[in-house]
Amino acid sequence: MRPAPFEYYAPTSLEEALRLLSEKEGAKLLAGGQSLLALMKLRLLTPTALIDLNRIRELRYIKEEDGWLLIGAMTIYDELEQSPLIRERYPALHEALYRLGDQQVRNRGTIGGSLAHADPSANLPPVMVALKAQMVAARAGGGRRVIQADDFFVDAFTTALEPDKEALVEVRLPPWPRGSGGAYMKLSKREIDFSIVEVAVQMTVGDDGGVKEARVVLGSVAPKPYRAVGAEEVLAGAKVDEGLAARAAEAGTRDLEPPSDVQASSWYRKEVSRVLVKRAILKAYARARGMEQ
Amino acid sequence: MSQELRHIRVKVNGQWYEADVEPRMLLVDLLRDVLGFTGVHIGCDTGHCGACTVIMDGRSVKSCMVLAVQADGSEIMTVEGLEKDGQLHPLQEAFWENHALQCGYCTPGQLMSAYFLLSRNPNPSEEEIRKAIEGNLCRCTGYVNIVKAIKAAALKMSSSKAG
Ligand SMILES: Cc1cc2nc3c(=O)[nH]c(=O)nc-3n(C[C@H](O)[C@H](O)[C@H](O)COP(=O)(O)OP(=O)(O)OC[C@H]3O[C@@H](n4cnc5c(N)ncnc54)[C@H](O)[C@@H]3O)c2cc1C
Ligand code: FES
Ligand code: FES
Repeated sequence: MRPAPFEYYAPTSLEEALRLLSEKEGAKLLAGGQSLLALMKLRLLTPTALIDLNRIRELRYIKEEDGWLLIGAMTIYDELEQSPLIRERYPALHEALYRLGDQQVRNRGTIGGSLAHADPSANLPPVMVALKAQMVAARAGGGRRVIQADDFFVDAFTTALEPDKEALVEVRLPPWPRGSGGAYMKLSKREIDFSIVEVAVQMTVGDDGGVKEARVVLGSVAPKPYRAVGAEEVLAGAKVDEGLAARAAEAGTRDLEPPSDVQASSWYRKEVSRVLVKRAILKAYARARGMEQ
Repeated sequence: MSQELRHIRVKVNGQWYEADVEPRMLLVDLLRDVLGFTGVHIGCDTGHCGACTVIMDGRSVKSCMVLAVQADGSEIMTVEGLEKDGQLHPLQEAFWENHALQCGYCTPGQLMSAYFLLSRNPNPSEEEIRKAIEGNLCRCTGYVNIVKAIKAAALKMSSSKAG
């Protein structure tokens, strides 16, 4: 299986890449290639040109600034998965990376490529929404804008990035206060498969044990990450135990109408959603209270 | 659309090679068809089986999921690079001794994944070994003996270093 012919560019600066993107009609950015090359081999995509971002060093970093964690779009999963800072501060993200594809995919795939691709079953989009991440988009000429994760995912395989103009250049994770914790859970047939259902939870708990803020986000159940607002409302102000977590999970998944496909029926997805949301809430709560790693 | 050829240089198993390739050529085809490293296997061609795994600049990658032009200037190691002067690598010996292969089709990829694991974790747990080869499918042996072999190789390598 070979891709159809295309022109190949390997710019070494972001500005040059953005200029090529705006000038070359039908061109696509190439990040880790772990989705794009597969689609091109199947001839589902036939871009006229590829603009390879892999030689742009300025897009590969993990750094702290004013309590925020800034991640360059071309940072590979493995580097993020190995980062002690992420493991400690954003355990939901760490777990999502640990459960993403296999080692070879994690050695090549990038955070920017995954989020721009916006697969409804991908690991990272729900986590970004749960963590209230910000996406930085850039276009030729120096124009930049910040997009909230809640607004970034628009539909299946569709983001708020302007096609053929904008690239995702940075992901910004806000500091979560003391007393915060998170969890990510995924059900898949085999470890390397995409999820049948996945859930990311992030919350902050006060000294009295009451939930101050909670975000519960599902993946694989809708065209874009699904905020289980019903669950978040039950959690607000509450002290979490088994019963409360079960009630929150019930409320958060009641209105779900997940798709049926070869992997699972709609009924099964909904049932598993309820179970995983409950478990992830209990885990995130325990972590927020410092009771569990 | 006519394809402009690109001149690239890659270092494979310690030796530099040059080639003119179409941008759409996959790294696995460069290694097998142009440079003759047929130990790199193609099982699925879609990124799912891991038979084509090689080490590229220190990291395991599926060579059917990388373009040859992307490897320009890179250092690659294939299964052929494990053996040195007629002496099998401890991983190869351990696979042999532990019956970690039957048909051998997946073996080059398993070895490369194991090589990457041991390059940064010389003493992996069973769970870490299983995690490290989850992208490498074996349809014959099952994974028990492969896991055993990697564990044995790790032991052998660390004791030979210590001694
Ligand atoms: C065997 C296998 C198993 C996998 N399992 C999982 C899994 O369990 N969970 C999961 O989430 N994913 C999984 N994946 C997919 C993987 O995460 C991909 O890496 C990811 O979907 C795309 O990221 P990439 O860096 O490889 O991007 P590419 O494939 O290079 O690009 C993907 C798309 O994003 C665009 N793009 C890339 N970078 C940018 C940018 N900076 N700005 C704007 N657009 C950009 C490209 O033009 C393209 O359209 C798997 C892949 C394989 C091969
Ligand atoms: S041939 Fe590359 S992963 Fe199967
Ligand atoms: S030994 Fe035959 S596929 Fe693994």
